[in-house]
Amino acid sequence: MLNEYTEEREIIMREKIQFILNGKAVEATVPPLKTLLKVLREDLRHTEVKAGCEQGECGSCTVIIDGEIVNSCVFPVCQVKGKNVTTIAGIGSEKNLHPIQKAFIEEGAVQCGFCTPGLVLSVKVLLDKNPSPSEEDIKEAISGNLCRCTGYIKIIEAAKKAAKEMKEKK
Amino acid sequence: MIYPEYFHIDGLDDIKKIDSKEKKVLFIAGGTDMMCYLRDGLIDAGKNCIIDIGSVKELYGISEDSDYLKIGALATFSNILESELVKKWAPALVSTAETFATPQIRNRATIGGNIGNASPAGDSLPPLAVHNAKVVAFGKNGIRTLDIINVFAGPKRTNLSNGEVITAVLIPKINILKNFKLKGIFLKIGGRKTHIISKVSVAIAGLFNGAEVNSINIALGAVGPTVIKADKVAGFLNGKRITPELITKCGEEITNIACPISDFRSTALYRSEVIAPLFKEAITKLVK
Repeated sequence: MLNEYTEEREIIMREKIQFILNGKAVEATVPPLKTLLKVLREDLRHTEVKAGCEQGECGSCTVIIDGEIVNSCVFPVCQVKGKNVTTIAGIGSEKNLHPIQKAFIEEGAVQCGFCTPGLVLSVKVLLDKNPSPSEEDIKEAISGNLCRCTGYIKIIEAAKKAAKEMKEKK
Repeated sequence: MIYPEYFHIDGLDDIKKIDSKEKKVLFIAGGTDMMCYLRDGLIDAGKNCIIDIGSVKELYGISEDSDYLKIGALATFSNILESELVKKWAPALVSTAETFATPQIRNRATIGGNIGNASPAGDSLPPLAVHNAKVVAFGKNGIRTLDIINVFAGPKRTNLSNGEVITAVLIPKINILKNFKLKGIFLKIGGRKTHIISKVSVAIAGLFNGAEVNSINIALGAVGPTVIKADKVAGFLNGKRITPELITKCGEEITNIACPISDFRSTALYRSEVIAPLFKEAITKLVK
């Protein structure tokens, strides 16, 4: 840990934080209490992770850590050391979309798109755990992701479609 | 942003080594409350320091011995929701975990954090009260155990001393009488179904044999400075068969002991009006 002095002469501690991001080892030397969201966006330039409410309400900043969804905006970066972080860029790319992304597009589950990365990741973790979810299971799984455009119906339809297609592929 | 001084510990004894320089020590676990306080500038970096307990292995896990169910302070609400042991010995707490915040928050928010935050609307507090939970705390003077009700000094304030950390919650294993079943429930009223902070909440746990009840406890959330345990109401019900008349009598007493305030989330009048019907709904669901 090294200490730096700002103009206000307040101590700002920085720490080297190493973790796995979308399968690659990354590191950032940052204040340990900085949010994972800010480190991802500002220090590691992973702007696919969206900053919405930044207080654990809206789910736009959702990432997968060791198989579970979390809000990166209320996640202190010091606790991500050695963990596996997956953002939307880690599950699909423009040329090689994940089946859930495809289903979202086909069902019209994307309007402004701001909530979409978080929603796709929440659906991904649901389908990883439960390949045949009921509508209630889907609603519960996405209950931490706010969407102000779609009214959710098309998102739920997209999740159902993705579940069906992923099962058929297996 | 100016961050408070930060310490990371791997074992509880390391707390003793930290020279907090007469600052107030704040412990960070899952961070779902603390990170919001930091963001909102509510933590004065000059007066507070933060100790990260996320790597302290002994604070994780849910286990049992012959007398107690032990829930580590760092058990998340997802851990609680998935635990067969909690389901068996603290059903009201499972009921809370089902509706607690969002899946994302449940994966991070800890039982120790919910207690330490001491919000009058903390959703784990009424169920812990009805299961007669004890809170284990560790500090410079060693280990002590407090009844959950005695942990709170007021809204957002605890009776823990500076540098004392919650390490576990102990839930006494109730003696289950023949033909009776341990049941528990937590109900809350909020603006929508998920991700709400309670306007009012009720927890009930006890032994049920049809409409016959024993060892019942009732606690009310968000209608007082801290969780309120309705022991007088429990006295009306213990050893009795529950009837609509008895429920009405209990509801009246519950309205009497609730002392809600008006805040940005709801009004005192609304809270007073809905607490008894919420209790009725909860007890009716348990008797069914």
